Amino acid sequence: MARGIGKERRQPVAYLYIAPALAVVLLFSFVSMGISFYVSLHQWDPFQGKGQFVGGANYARALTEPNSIFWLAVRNTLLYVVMAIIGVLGTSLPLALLCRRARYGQSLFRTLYFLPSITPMVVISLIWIWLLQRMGAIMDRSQTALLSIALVGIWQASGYNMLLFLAGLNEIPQEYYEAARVDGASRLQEFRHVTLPLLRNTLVFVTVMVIIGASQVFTQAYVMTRGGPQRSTEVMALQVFKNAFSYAGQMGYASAMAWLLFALLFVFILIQMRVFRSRRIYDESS
Amino acid sequence: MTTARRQGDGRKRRAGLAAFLVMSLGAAVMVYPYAYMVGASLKTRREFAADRHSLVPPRFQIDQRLKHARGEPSALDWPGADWPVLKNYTDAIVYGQVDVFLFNSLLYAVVITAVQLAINTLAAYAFARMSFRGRGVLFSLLLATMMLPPAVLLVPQFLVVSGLGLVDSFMGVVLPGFAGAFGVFLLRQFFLNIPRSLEEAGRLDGCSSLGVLWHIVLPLSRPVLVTLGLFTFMGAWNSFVWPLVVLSDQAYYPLTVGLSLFREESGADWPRIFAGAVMGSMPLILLFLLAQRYLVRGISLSGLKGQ
Amino acid sequence: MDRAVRPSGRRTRRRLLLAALAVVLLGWIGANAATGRGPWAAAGRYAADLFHRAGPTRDLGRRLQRAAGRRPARPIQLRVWDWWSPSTTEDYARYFGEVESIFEARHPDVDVVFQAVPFTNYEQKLATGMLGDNPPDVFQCSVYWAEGLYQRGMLRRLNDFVARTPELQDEQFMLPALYHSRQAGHIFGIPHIVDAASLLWNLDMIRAEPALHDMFERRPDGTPDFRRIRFDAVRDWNHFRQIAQRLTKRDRAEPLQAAAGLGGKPHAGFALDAYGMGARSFMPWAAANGVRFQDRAGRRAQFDTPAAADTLQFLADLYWKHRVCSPFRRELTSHGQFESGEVACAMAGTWSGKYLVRDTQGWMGFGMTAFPPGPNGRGYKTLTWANMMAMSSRCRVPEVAWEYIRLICGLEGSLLRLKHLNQNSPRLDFYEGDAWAREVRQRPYLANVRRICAVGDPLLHTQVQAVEDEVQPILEYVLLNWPEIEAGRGSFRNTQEAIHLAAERVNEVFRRYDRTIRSWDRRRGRLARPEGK
Repeated sequence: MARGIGKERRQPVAYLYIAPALAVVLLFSFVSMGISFYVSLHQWDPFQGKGQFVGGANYARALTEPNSIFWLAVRNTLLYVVMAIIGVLGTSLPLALLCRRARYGQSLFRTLYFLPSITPMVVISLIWIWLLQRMGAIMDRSQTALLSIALVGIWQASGYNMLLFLAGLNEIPQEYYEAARVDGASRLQEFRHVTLPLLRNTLVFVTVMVIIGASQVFTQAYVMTRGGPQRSTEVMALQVFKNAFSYAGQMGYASAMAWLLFALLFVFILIQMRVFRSRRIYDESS
Repeated sequence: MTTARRQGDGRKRRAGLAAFLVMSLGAAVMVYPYAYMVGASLKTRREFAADRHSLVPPRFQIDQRLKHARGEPSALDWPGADWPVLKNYTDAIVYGQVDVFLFNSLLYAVVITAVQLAINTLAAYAFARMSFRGRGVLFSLLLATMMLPPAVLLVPQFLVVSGLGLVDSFMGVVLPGFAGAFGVFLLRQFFLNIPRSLEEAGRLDGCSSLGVLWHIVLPLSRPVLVTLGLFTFMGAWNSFVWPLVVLSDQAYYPLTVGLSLFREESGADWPRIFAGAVMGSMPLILLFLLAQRYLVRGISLSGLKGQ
Repeated sequence: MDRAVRPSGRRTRRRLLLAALAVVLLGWIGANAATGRGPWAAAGRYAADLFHRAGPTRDLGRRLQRAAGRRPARPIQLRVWDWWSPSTTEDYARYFGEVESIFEARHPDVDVVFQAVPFTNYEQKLATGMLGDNPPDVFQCSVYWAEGLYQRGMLRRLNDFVARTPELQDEQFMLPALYHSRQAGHIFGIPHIVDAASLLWNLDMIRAEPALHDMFERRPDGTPDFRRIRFDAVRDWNHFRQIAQRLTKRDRAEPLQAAAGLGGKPHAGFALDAYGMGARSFMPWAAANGVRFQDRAGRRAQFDTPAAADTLQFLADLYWKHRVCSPFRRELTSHGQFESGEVACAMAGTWSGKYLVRDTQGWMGFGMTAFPPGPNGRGYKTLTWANMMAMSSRCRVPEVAWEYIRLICGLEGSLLRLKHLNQNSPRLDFYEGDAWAREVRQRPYLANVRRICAVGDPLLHTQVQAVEDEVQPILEYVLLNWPEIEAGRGSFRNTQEAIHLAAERVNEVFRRYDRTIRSWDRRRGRLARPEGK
């Protein structure tokens, strides 16, 4: 099916093609990453710039300091990621299936469900503070506050991801379903044995993107709960932001936390890829 | 046979109707906050202070109108009840300079989208169709950049832009926006699904690789280009922290940053902010309506097409 | 595939046609605009105006002009930062408009450039602005950041300027206003406004309770003046509780209902912000009970005392035992509840009056008092702070910047702020003129403001954000979960334990801050010897 890359003639002109995109990414991601790593090895202040070289002390502080907020933030962030994955997959995929079934107004639904993703998160958060309050004290208890900001995140993301799933569903050739029907498969079996496996790549993509997005959750926590009540919504990005810009001389520490978060995410995504890969059915691409 | 089919049709119709109903319910949940925002943007300050929950501004509520007609005290006696309906909108423009912010947002978003589409298309095509040393590594590196927490890149990125002397300038705002690993990924996925045979035909006709890209691949890729264009535009339009950091001249502010000027130390003039936010979402809604025909077709993640 | 390609040709033609049409239309509009008549001309003028106001196009135009050899009329630029923004309210637009025209008339070669920066991001923007090459010359500086900026050497020392300017000498200002802009003999800011925490009272609700009419000032004929509340309307904490009880109107039985929006009848006597209850909202009460938050240098917490624990207990009891408060709510601050007419009393800064008038469009009668003394306190107290004008260490035109500060912080600037923003002033001479007396007659809520500001202890001022992030979760926990604590199931046994832990955490922040500053000082000592240190 796939043509081996090695057999093809190498085309040096390709470097010209990727040069502009790579140059920008190089400058704003890799150079910045380098700088950020350098910062994480120092005591650093946004106003004063570089301070003392401290080596791994910032990392050590995050990992070992007694009553360190880092681990709390890691816990909250991971919990949020899990909620987001369950929530987004649990709403957007069924919604996509339903939307294809709906008798009328499919394109209208697509528009309406997309509305949340084109409204800035700041505005969304402000509105949801009011709405959640009317729905009860979900935001006020430390046990459920994280869930409440996750709900807002899920609400915003589900329409967008529904579109991705719709796209994936549209790509499944109709013959597969006809074949399943000939075999007398029930709706559920059809979903289990045709739809789900054929959506694998979309699923992987959506999950990865949700993990990346959710692990960086910031605006809801910043606007809606400010990390409270009792630190129950203290997430990583919020900690990083506060340490970098609000506390004196803690930018190095903030950078160290961000790098640890990056490492954690990387592991998380690798594991997730492994899980999906082991049940690989179709090749990724031609 | 026919009865069986008719039965099947009937079941299908019922299922379709049920799906429609469930979807409508969901749509209400999706639209409600937006409706709230529109409603709040029409309230007077007095109305918003006294009644923050209702969708319809009190002076337009039927029971208040009835009370007023009966001569009882009602929301129509409140100061500001004689405001023009769109006063918050006109105020937002006249005093809040929302038109300038909108113009700036538009400028930034259009330029970022155009440049991203151009450079990402080139890169994605190379990654999809060309063979060169380090292709896999470079592509993985590109994707890895999506995982970086933006909060920490903020300052280094600012140092880079400031080193280039671009603080408080048009280029300073848009330049980092040109980077887009997601775009390269999305385009590459789509390009992979275009049958190679078409391109080979083009090459036989004597087209260069750029010619093949321009004459054959791009016309076929309109859905994905529109999709990516929309996503990029959305991202640029809603970006907040970067322009905030790189700009200090209010005349350069995009809408997101401009709106935050409406807030004070304590509270804010919410109705006017919501009016600004509604105006700010209009271009995106319009764009979405124009693009939505292509949207679903443009996303190709399942790896099934073209097999 | 063929099918996909062919219609696109047709579409291209259609699009070309549309583009041609657009060009013709634009040309027509342009031609109309040139003749200056009709709606299209207006549209053209609007577009030209828009291009002039929007930064990217405006600067493009300027660059073209400069390329054509034209020089700007005002060669010196004075860059002024503020979080008050002309976009926020039209009052600010008028204020800055007048300041600019006065200053530029006196200094024909200076171009004043105002740059508005949102308050919540101000410090962060300052950081990046100082790192980059566009720092402000002069800026409004909040007391939250002033000390930190000074320690980093970002604020220019103003002693020499002050020494030669009689109208900005220290004795011109009320004492609490000078606290935050001086450290160890260094002057790094000149106060231009003064604010204090205060209790806001809904006068209409008090008026409805004849038993409380004592709280009002008396008219010459001895009848209560319902527009003015007495400064000493509340005698002490017990009295406050009694008043709050009387002002609590329950709907049916317990629990207290949040008031219905439209002319809602039930209301609570007081509102506490349990969510985000931090040092800033706790300390005014504690100050009235004789508690200080930190030492002068801001490096040690001083609030780990029984009096502070009693204060926390008093607040928890107001809510849980005496039930005079509205239900804890996150989405609506106590100030918002006050504005909606759901509570009779709430805490707010003295500056909030003008916003209250604006938001309620004048429909609510309200007044302000300081905090009544607690069992350990002596006299009325609150927290006071005075935001200042500061000059950045990278200011390019110090003399011009000082002239600007002189205008803003002098009597003239104070009167401008009174005129446009209804703002009181830290200057003593300000209260002697009749402009202030006239304003108080017009806006009776201002009557007590001067005294409230004068009786305040200084607001906390080092590492405010970091300190609040430590204190908030603890105080919040106590207020929200008091019944649990009382039953012995909480994380603390009593308020004293909570206060103790909070003080410990704050001291940890201070220790880290102290280390950081020492390292800066060492570094600066190596690089260049700073003046007078």
